[in-house]
Amino acid sequence: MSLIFSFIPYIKRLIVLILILFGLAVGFILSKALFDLSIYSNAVFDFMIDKSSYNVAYFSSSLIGALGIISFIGLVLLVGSWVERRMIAKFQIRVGPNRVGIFGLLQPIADAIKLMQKEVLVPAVADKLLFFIAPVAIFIPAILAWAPIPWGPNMTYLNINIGILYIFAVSSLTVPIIFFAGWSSMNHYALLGSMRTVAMMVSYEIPISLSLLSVVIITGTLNLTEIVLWQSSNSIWLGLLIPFSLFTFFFSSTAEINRTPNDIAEAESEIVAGYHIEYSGMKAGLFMAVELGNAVLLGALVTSLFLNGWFLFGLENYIPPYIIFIAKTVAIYIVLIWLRATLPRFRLDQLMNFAWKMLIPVSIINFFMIAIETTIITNLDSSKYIIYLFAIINIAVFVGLIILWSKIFKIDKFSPEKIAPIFAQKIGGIKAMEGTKSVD
Amino acid sequence: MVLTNLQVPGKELSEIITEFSSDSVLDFSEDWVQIDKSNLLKILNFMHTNSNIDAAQLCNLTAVDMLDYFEVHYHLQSLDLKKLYSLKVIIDRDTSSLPSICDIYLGANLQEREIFDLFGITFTNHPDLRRIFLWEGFAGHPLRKDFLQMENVTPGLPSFPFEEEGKQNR
Amino acid sequence: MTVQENYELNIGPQHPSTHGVFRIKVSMNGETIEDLDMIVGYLHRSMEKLSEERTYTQNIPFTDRADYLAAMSNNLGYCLAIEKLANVIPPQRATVLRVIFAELQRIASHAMANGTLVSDAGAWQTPLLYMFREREKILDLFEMTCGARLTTNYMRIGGVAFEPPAEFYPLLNDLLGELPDKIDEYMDLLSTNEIFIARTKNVGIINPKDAINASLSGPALRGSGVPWDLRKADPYCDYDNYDFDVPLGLIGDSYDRFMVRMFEVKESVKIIKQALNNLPLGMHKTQIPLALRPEPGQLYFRTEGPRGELGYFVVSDGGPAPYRLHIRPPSLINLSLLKQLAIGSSLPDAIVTLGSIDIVVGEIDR
Repeated sequence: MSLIFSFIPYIKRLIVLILILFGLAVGFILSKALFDLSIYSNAVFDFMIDKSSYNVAYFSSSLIGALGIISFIGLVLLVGSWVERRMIAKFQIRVGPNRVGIFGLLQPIADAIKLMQKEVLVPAVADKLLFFIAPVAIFIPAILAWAPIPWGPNMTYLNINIGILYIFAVSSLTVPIIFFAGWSSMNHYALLGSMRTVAMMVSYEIPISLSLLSVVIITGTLNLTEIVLWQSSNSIWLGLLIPFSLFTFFFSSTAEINRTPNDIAEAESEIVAGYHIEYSGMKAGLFMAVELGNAVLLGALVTSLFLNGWFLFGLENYIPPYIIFIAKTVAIYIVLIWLRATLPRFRLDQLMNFAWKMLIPVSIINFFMIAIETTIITNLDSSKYIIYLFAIINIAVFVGLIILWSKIFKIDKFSPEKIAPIFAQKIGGIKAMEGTKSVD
Repeated sequence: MVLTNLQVPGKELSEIITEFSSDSVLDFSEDWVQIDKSNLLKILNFMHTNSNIDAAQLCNLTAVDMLDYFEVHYHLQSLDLKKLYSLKVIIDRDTSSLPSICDIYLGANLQEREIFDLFGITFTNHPDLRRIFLWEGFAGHPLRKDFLQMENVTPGLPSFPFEEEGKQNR
Repeated sequence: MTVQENYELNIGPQHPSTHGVFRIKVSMNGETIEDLDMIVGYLHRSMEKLSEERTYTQNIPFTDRADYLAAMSNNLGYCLAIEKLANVIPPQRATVLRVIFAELQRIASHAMANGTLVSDAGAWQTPLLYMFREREKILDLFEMTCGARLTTNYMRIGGVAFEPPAEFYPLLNDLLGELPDKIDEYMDLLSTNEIFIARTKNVGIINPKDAINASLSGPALRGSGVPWDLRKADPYCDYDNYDFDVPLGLIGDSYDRFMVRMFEVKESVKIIKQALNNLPLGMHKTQIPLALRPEPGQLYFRTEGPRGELGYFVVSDGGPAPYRLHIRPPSLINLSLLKQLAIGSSLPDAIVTLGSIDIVVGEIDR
């Protein structure tokens, strides 16, 4: 009997294990049917083209795909907020939400219900129209940007040749909307927050575009699917080949989507909540949801651009490819949570300095280097292994450039000797203090 | 009559001050020296600059209502010599005003504001003499002993300060 | 024609980094602070007036509520002042117990101060919660000794209220054993963290002459390098018998004040260990009259609280209640330099400076 009781603390873990095994089993059985989800929209297309015109068929089949992506975003918003809260709780030696449903899994739904019930306050002097539009409008780019993401071999909703440009253009739409939100609130905190956002986004678009340019020049295409296929055909992850671009893209994107350590637009300890300080109820919830959705979108972008998309050492033949893609996306998202739980926040001027003095010049150097390498690769198409050589060279240059730049701007590593305590030799005022210093 | 460890006895301190300015010590006891109100700034300046006294820091500044008059206590300390000096100034209740010592001791700023707020003692030449804890327009000064016996004055205000009825000031 | 105007920003009374109902009205030009006005008094409970109506013993709970993050230290300062005034000599065991509890309170208070400083610098509350882990254990010790966690009301005139229970000592020993390791853990997490250093180094520099002239005390003064600690300079509770060091800062910036607190925790651990070794047997309290009537006189008595020089100015007229009781609030007086420090700096820097000075609004307003 006591043996049974001794298992009680492990029952939760046991349940998790059983659930995972169950999920894997079901996934394996269904994997034939779920291996490529594009067959369903194709089936709808085939069905509709017999009954009606091409346009109607195209529209209805594309609706199925859009439904899939939007329901994924909805799921991510629900599960993601739970994952983030639980993980941060683990980092902070707390328990986290565990009351609503098993492991607190229903907590996001309870939160949403609570937020919807709350009154949405509108400040008396606010610009009512813009104040109303902003939280709705900010959702549009957040969803549109998901369109060209390659989920699997045939699973790209919008397989256009200018995929990167499209994402770049759509995500820039966020800037004016955030500015609308801050300006229309008629609150100094909100205005400060939106000004900071605009300043930061304008600065960090440049390193992002430079890092994406490196990707484009080396793969020779703007199409996200083809970038993924280039990586698998050359059997190297772009993240290893051009690590500096990965770093620049990831860091700058955290500034774009307001995540720690660059979340100065809504720095809690300084300007309380930044541009959405005056929003309450579900409108504030929409801003938070967009933020979370953008974090996952960053994960998806990094996955497809730098981490070889749905490919994972041949495993993509046995597991549905989009599952691999989502797993990589979630891994990047977890890195973001990890950063959020560990790091303090930069100051605005420090971030600006970092962008203009460090990221942009080094990105330009990196870009020229990759241009030279690309010329060599395209002209010497016989030798495939030269790419691995370049990967090693690039990693070495990445480390070297960082050291060089920190030397140029005199950012020396803080040595542990400097934090050794100084103890008073003599108690007193200024005179005793001079005595202490001469002893040292 | 209690002396703490570092406190300079009143007699010793009064001799030092008398040496500097002969008629400014009015009274002294075991632990404090009462000085003339008009010579306050001069004496504090002397104590601040003189290296033998070296009163570098103002520890504490407070007042006591003695029903007929106010006592204002200055506790100065020397960090290097490890000494604590206790000075006292007596002022009238009716024309209660003192020169501010903010120019000599920066730390007096907030403490003088506190005394002004709670006792109603005005400090001339204070850079920013306003109430600190209570709001502007609060009737009376609560640490006076007769605070609750004042005629025609009820503590507090009928409405929140600076608020015109029916209008939000933005 | 364009007119350029500064705009006003009200930081507080409800703001995540004002640590209570404290309001700063700043006039800003872009992100730079041009003018600053502190508005305090939201928590004014007129303790000094109320204490004139109560006996000396009844006033002890007020001191808990003045600095609610360091109740033990405030209790201690008040009781020592009244004992000195009324010539009450506490038993030796009470003195050692007082040292133990005051130093535990210092650790708890410094943990809170440093945790909130890192939160002000933008860490998402992780270091704060790490430091709360140790603070929780100390508060548990308080709870098992005197039944309260924050407003302890533990010291009495002539001793301490209760003897700690038997299970107190093993728990305390465990805590003392692991605290230095935990401090090293925070050092690893924060003291060499590039972002934290970038946010706090060279921010809010106070030079030692200004610090002395503006009546600063405690870690704010020692952070500027002035070697002044009342436990060494004006020993009370036999602090001169304990072997400990006074850590100092190098240049007086926010980082130095943070580090001074960190190292002071280690020194406090040393003091508590020595006190536990020398804990004598005997009574924990002497009998004093119910209505204590000290001789007419006045006394300014100060102790080294976690935030600085915590002074009590008591005037007795021979009655059972103090004629006047003034608490010298280190939190308020340490703010004397805030205006000079904040003007010309940016808003985030001012917030970090305020966090590093470490205020408790209950003590500012009293």
